[in-house]
Amino acid sequence: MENEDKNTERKALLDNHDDKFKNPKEKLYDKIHLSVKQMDIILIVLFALLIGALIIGTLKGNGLI
Amino acid sequence: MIKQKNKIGNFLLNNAIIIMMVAAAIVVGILRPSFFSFYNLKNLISNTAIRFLIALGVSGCLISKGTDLSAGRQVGLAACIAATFLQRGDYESRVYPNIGEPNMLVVLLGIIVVFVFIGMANGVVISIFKVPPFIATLGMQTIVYGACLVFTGAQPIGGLRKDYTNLSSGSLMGIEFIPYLGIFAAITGLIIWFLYNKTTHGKFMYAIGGNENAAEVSGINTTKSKITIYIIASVLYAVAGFLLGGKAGGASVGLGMGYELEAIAGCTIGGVSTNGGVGRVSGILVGVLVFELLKIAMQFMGVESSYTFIVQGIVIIIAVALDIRKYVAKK
Repeated sequence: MENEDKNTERKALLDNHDDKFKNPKEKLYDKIHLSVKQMDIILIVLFALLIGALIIGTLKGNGLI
Repeated sequence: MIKQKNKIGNFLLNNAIIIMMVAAAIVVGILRPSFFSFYNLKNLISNTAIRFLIALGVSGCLISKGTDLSAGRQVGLAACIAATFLQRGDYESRVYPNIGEPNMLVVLLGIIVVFVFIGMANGVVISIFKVPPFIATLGMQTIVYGACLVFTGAQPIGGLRKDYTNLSSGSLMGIEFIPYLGIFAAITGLIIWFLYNKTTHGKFMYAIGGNENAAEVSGINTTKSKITIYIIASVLYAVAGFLLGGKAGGASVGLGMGYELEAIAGCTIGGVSTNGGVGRVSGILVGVLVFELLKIAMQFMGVESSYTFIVQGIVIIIAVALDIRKYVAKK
């Protein structure tokens, strides 16, 4: 019985083909309570910031502003 | 029709960063035709190769739930040592005028031996003395920087031998887009892939990152594994530093500064979790490549240097946000 427990634990550690297995990153992401829609909004804002920074940086770098 | 739309959506989402970078490269290529040149390709491969070696070293530490803030300074020290011993015999300001011209391989092996001890020190402090990796490697960063200052006397080292600089700037049979650096990086990548996926050391590393206590309970010698991880990391920094010295054509104490953060960023973009237990060599390569491509594209577009840092930071956040979005959608 004890051996079986040890084997299960070892399997959970070393073999992540288990359906219920969650890696540390997934465990961390589980703590983030956001919906897909909210994530989409965040991503749109981030992409807008990225494009904005690129445009301003290019204009400044080329002496246009 | 809806299924196909979903498939396309999933494909776009799963490869968003890569698609974004390819699109950016195409746009830059159209606006600046010289972007698509063999010279630029060689430049991209060479820059990526060195960063990839450093990122591979850092990845082991990250996967085992650690970190290595001394990576950049170790690379700098390795470059300074290599440059010191590989100066031209006829160079007037040689640091050691009486040592002749030592064999390059001997110098590299000597540097690796020194760096095994540095890595071992990091590993011992983290795994035996239980000092948090952040603090331990921060201390090592300062020690290595100090050692580098003492070793070089804060003087830049130049006058490198041609065979050494050729090693880092040359190409296989003169084919411009197959630089030696790319070949070294590819071979190292394969070795590390094998180490991570096909050896017990790799399995133990992922297990430690997943749950260190459980790993210990299941019979893994976590102390030995962690020391090995930090030794391997330092050996990779030694090789990266050796190659970087030759590529730069000289070395100074400032070389390699901040490279650890670039490596961590590359790993993060490539899907290595800073929370441990997750990371693939292919992901690390993509992460580093994306970062280098971004930097070169911004240089070509003439983006003001201050803004390049802002852009790089946003790209890292987008990479993590996309990863979270994927996970949330899958739940």
